[in-house]
Amino acid sequence: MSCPPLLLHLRIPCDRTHIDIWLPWFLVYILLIPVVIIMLPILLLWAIVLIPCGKAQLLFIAVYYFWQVLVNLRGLKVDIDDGVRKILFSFV
Amino acid sequence: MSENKKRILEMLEAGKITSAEALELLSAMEKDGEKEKATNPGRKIRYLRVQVDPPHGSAGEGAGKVNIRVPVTLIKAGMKLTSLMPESAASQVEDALKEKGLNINFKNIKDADVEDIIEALRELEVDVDSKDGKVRVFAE
Repeated sequence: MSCPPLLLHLRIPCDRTHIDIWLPWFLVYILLIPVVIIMLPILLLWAIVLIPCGKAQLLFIAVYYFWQVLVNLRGLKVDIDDGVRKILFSFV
Repeated sequence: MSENKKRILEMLEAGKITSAEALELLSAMEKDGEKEKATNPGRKIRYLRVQVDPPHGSAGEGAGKVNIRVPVTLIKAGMKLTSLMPESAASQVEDALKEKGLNINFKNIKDADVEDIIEALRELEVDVDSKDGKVRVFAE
């Protein structure tokens, strides 16, 4: 399994210059833990309800796929420079 | 030197096999190696890159410069997500793409197809050099 991104580098245009910000992306995971703990029983109940229609598996697959997207964000970089404004976001 | 080659040479030195047999074994090993290379070519792509450079001599240093790097694993994960798209949303997207001349059926995309698409990216290289600038799309 690849390592999820830990930092987010943002460059936002501000007046005639730009601001570079390094955001601690790893905090997102810490914030996600209580959300997951709260959501887990709801998710399980929902899955039980969905078993008769055969869509319970789909629910867990969706969670897994979203997690995969989140984890694989590492290395994503968008750098746009139009001469006046510079915009960057990069997951490190 | 690989372990197998060393063993063959040791056997030859010990007189357990003749030089002709050793040669035969070494050539068979080389053939196996080539076969493996053909089925699994070395370079593994990690990113899809899109670079747009402004034309030379344009006003402002770096004006109109775009540099995008997308991890291949993210593309893979994103494509798998399309399988969860609701029927109505998928058909709307497909219709919109059809209007642009792209005939894609999201429901028919399987995991193996995703792997094939990613594999095909290895050969992808788009290089457009015009008076408006330079555009490069490639995998690395």
